[in-house]
Amino acid sequence: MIFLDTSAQGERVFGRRRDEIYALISRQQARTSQYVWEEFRCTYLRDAVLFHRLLSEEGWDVARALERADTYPTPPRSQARIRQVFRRLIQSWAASVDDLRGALENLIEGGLEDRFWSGLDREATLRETDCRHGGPPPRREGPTYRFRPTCTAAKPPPCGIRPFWETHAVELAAVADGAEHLPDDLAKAAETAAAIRTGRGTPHGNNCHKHLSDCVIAAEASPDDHIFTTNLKHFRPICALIGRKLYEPAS
Amino acid sequence: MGVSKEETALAAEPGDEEFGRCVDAVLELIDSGHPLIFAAAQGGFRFEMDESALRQAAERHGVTADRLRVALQDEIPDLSWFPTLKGPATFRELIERADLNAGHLRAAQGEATSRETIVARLSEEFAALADADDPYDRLDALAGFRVAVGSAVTRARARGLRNLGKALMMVRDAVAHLRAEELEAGHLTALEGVLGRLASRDPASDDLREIDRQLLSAGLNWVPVVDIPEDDES
Repeated sequence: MIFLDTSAQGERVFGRRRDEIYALISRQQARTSQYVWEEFRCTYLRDAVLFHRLLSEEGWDVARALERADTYPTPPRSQARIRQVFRRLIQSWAASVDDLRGALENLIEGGLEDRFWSGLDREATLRETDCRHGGPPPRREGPTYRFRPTCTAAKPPPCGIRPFWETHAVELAAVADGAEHLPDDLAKAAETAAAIRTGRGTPHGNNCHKHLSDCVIAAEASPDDHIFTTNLKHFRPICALIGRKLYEPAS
Repeated sequence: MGVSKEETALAAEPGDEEFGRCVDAVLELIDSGHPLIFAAAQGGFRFEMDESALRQAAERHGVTADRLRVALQDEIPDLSWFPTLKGPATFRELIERADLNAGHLRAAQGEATSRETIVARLSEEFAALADADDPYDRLDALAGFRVAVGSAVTRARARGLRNLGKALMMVRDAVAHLRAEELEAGHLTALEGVLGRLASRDPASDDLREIDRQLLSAGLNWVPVVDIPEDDES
């Protein structure tokens, strides 16, 4: 079965490989996981909500909203996503302010969710982590929306990440011991895995959705799954370490 | 079909002199055969014109260039959405291709255009699309449907029918890039279903989502594609 990670889902919703991915999952059964869905909500959906708020506060002046996005206390990837994904969408849509507002609101109020699940075997969704990172869906508050991811190390929502790593202790150990096989920007993943393994670190909060997120996704996939990701830089070494297969297009 | 001075006189309502002057300025631009460049981008279009011509026309008719630009882009229906015309053209070609007449201009000024008439006109264009067997007819019918649905979005917004505008926007963007040879029975069924739904009642938010799902499941996705940043490793 094809297993779509978050980058593949982003590509399927917005990216230029959309047709390729839709064609693939029309031929082969495909699934994703609760964890990937929550990560998607905490990236694309959250950034759509943030951009909607900035636009609303700036009188729907796109240039000013983008300027503010660059100085907003968000991770660089969020800024890049707002700048490069949503700005480009706007350039495509932007016949008017009404178009822009309507399109963003349609996406926030279910459009992203429907595109995320479209064509997937929902019964086969992997739910082992029982991730609740994103919390409740965006709620309309006046002209904007409120959407705040809820998982922190100090106060995590009730989820299954601790038993998940107990079940996948072999994979956790492989990551913890495999620092020399991982790229530099995954050094923190190995360090975090080691800390969780020895009980020195919590599996929640940033340790989960920042440092080990790719490892969680790879580990939750079945060894028979073919993981479809555009983030080969991270997934190739992780999958090699823990014994998972990547989807590689024939060409 | 072009726009006559007489028609324009009908269009200009008392009390909206500024808009009437904008229409006069547009007519002058039409008569001048001034070239426009259309950029038919994904899901939308923009036209660019010689700024000095725009300013001169505005000045001659006692409106600001910004006011005239707003009238062109947002207030005169059919000018605000024209995805099928590419390359250099003139205002006159634009007006004629958009089948713009005094009725449209009146609608732009907020004269009664009900939800029913908006959807009914769209349904007529859709019927022509569904009936077109010949490839060339189908090409024409698809272009006509695109224009009609773009116009319907503008009218719905002008009437304050916000949900209808949002629903029609999905339809507009979903068909914007559909090529006649790609048009399948499933697309037609989905579009027919959406139009039927819109004709029946004012859609609430849940219905907007249902419309989106209906279009998506038929392969009519209104979200354009973009380049995802290379460093996006979510």
